[in-house]
Amino acid sequence: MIMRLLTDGIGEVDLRDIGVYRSRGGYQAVEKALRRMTPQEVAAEVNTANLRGRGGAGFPAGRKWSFLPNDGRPRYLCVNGDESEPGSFNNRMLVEDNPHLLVEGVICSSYAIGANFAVIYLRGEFYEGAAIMNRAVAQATEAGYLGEHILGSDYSLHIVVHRGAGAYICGEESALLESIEGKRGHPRVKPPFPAVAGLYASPTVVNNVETLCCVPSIVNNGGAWFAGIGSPKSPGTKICSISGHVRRPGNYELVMGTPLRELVEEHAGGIRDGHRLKMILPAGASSAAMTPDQLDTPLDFDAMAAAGSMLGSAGLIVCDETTCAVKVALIGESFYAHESCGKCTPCREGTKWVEKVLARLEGGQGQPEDVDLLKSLVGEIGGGKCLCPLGDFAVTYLGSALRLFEDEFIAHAHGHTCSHAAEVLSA
Amino acid sequence: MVLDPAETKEMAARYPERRSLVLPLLWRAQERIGYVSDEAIDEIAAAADVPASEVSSVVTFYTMFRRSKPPAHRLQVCTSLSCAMAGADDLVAGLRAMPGCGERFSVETVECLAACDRAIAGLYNEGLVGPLDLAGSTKLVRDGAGVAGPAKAASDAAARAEGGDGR
Repeated sequence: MIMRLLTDGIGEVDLRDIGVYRSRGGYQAVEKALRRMTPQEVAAEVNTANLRGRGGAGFPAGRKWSFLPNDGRPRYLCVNGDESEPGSFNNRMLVEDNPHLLVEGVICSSYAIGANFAVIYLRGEFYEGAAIMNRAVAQATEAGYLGEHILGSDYSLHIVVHRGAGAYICGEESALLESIEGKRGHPRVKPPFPAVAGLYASPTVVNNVETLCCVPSIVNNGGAWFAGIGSPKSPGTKICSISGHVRRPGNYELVMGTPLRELVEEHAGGIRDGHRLKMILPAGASSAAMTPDQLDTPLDFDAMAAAGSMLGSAGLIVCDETTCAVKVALIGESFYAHESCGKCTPCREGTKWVEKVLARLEGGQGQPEDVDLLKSLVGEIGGGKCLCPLGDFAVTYLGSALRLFEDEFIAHAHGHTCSHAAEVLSA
Repeated sequence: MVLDPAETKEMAARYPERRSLVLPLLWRAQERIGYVSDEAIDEIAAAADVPASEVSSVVTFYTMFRRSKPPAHRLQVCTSLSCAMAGADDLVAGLRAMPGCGERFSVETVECLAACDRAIAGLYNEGLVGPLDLAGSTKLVRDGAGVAGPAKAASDAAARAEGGDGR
């Protein structure tokens, strides 16, 4: 079911204009939080809301906030807007079309955790998004929602929009912090986690764009209200980005727990004419494939995990029967081989090795033993052997495809190029 | 001098620590002269108070920073999954076969641009474009104008569909 909590007004009015945003109730959460609530009360509402991280992990934001030690060091909030997972494009819409919602969410959340400095980290390719976000921050500052003594209170907050420069790995929170500190985006050894030693070695919260965009409505309506929307254990809405072989690709904000089938068949208009569904990668290129028999799975964190895949950031890529499972693996693996930061051996060496094997399979030069080789590489690279999940992501789809579509891999290994190979390119 | 010292000072005041200036100043240098020069690296190292060798290593880590001037017309085509499924590889091959490619304009491939609803998506200089087809992109790299499916219209269409009133 569609419920427009974060996307209300997008496509109808220009929410980038602070006047328009305010006329629709914008910045009331800031007014309420700063005038009538203590930081602890704001944090308590977010806790009650059971707001789970929309960046993919689904970790409760309120709990993440509670890990900050109270030791007098400055605290920071960093917004993860490095949206880079192939298939995900919901953060870009929020940044470009509803920037003040994010600013408002950042103000409420920074107030709740006691941060006076926040960074909105946007991937470098978001040229327009960065310009829009900078304008929104300037408008909010002029209106008195940012800066010193906000709304006459003792609370001060400054926001900087910080641009990345083309590195998928910077979506990993510790790599993102390195990037803000002016370094190469290499993930850090954990522990210590960012809550204890994050930006400039100070207590830091890193939350996704969409997660923070949920906070204003929680402040306005209460955590209990939010907790009552959708799946009890994954409350709220989720903006699902759907692309690939569907009639109406786009972003659809759905109540958590909406069946996958409703998104694919109703909202996205079903599979393109004359074709049928083969598989869905529900959390982008790094997720385990799901098959047509799983279309009744509810779109929430727990149900998708129970179905053997994940909700992630809900970047769903839909493939019809013309799609070659081996080719999809090769496209994905080339991405990960390129984006591996090079720090951990299994990921750095493994992704390139897998890419090589898949390239020869896909090119009709495969050897019979390649299928077993791939299976063993999936086990050797995945399973948490690296400092960050990129290595795991790089073999998640492949592992699922080797189970679901083993016959296609075997056919390729015997020198038969896939009959779909030409079609997937011209589809 | 590549950077404007007054602007650098103003940017430094926004961050708690100076080393955070590395990426913003690299962007600024690239905006001013089109790429990151040796001179820019030295200036940034001084401004951010980090060794020049470290700034160099940052430049090479991030794919969007360039060490040489790019052609005036630059099209980057996304070849990640949704765009590949829409024929990105054929589009790139078609564009690269055009006379003038690599000289008057460049055609590069890029990883997912978070615009899969506009597959095949691309970046024309700094603007998001899509959906791209061969005719539209040919016109784009030749004339520097005319895009298949204006970016904003596509986004609005998606938003309307989301509300159910566009169906």
